[in-house]
Amino acid sequence: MTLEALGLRAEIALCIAMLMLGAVMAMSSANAVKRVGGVVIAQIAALLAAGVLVGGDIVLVGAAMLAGTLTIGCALIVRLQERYGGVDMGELDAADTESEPREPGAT
Amino acid sequence: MSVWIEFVRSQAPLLAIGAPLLGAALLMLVPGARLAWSAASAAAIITAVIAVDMALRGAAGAPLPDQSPSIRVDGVGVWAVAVVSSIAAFVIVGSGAMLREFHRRAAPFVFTLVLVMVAALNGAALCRTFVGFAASIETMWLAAVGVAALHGDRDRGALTGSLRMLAAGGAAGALLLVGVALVVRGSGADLSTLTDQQLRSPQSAGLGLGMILAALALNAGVAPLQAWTGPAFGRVGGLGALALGAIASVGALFALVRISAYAMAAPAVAVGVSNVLLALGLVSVLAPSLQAVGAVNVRRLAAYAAAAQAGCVLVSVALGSPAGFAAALVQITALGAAAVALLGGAANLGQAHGLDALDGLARRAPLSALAITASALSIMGAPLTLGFLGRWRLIEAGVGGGWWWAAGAVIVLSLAAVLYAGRLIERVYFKRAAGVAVERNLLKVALAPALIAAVAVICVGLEPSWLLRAADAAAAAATGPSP
Repeated sequence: MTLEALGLRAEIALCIAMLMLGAVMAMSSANAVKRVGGVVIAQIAALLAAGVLVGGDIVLVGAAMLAGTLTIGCALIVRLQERYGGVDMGELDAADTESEPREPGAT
Repeated sequence: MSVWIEFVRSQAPLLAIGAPLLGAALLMLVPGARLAWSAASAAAIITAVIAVDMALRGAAGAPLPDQSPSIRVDGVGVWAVAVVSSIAAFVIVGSGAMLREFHRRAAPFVFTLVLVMVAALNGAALCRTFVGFAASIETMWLAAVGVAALHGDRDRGALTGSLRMLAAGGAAGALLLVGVALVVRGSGADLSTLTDQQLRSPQSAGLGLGMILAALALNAGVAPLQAWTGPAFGRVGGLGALALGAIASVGALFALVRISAYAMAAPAVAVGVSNVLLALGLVSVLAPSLQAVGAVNVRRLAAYAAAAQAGCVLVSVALGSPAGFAAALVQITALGAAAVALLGGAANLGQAHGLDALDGLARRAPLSALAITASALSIMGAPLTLGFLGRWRLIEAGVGGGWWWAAGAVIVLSLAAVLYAGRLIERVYFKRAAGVAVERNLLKVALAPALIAAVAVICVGLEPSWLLRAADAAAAAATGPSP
């Protein structure tokens, strides 16, 4: 395998590792801001990988996807802060569980 | 007049994408909820008519509109566009009963985003290139997150649901992007049927296809990637649940079938793709069925039931045969119709969305009860329903392909469905209401789509020959002639 091919594989592996790290952060962080940050990291990694692999139109699509995700993510964080008074996922889930309608006994 | 009809028919694929987009753009200028609903309904009905006409002409053997550099019309694409557009028309017309779920000023934006979802899914079904496919799927997902988030004015729980959707969908989008890049590098950018000769790098193409399928499975809410569905479906309200369950999930499944049909044509990657789909499918039959048995919220139950049915769709696609793809198309159609009937009927419950709100519904709201019952029967796979038809076709395709154990997956799904869907029927007809109020539906005509879907679930099950022939033709066009 040539050095160039090895270098390409190393770049792709690094991007995929960064993508997985971002995905884990997005799914499991205890803070809404960190979740959005995780998504952004994953998408930046994907953008870099796509640029290295093929480039062209797909990078534009990825950039648009990143911009859209970031915009909606920021809007959600602001709304969560307004409605819940915080962005900690534990507190948000507790508040949601409390407001979920409980089932009365069967008649 | 006939000149205009011929023109519309010749440009049907472009109009199936452009009509909802144009409607979405015009909705931004419309003030007020009722006016926005009327305009959105008109746009959705026009799109559905164009799409269904294209599908019927294709099924009758008429030549489909000419291909273009950016659009490719194939069997799965035409079927998907017809079903998604029809379901969207049902959802939007039926949402007249749900306008109080969001702020009056937010209503035009909600309908705008739903129409964008429809346009994006039609684009994913008809685009020629992988890049266009990725752009369409991502547009659909971001619009779906927006629809969910806009329900946050009435129920703040919708905001946490949308955050989970954004996180899951964002990760899926990243996977999709890398997958598309790998496939383009390994086999080319065109979404035409793949052959071994076109494969420049089978490993790259195979890995890319696996990543694309994983991303689409996450978008469709397939287990074990369905962590976002419970929180999202549970708190987004009636229109949000319909948009996610009946439009987004169904569209994502069709996209998954389209990519699978592309991949299965090349033996070098077909085995790997089949194994991935099979693994996801079997897990998705089991895990969401257990979740549905324990659900206490109608909409969450609908989400888990859809995920379980999606598992059978993946098993059908994993077969790789035209019969398997035909079974998948029928099952996805059944899933969409059942979702419209169940969630549309449950929309009459208003803010009360626990299972206890169904108690005694047959006396309080008999039409809603009828819709929910028909949907439950289809979910159970009761004979003479559309759900039964899809599962029967899977068993036939599985046994024909040597996968006799596919019948076992169907039996597990159906037995679990008897437990959780049977509970719905029990509550509706055999339990007394414990003081739970049902919102008066002032716009009873908005129940019509749920009822039509419920009737279709039964009637098509009684006379399915035309549907089965159309599904066979669509699958054959997507995969090549039947053996």
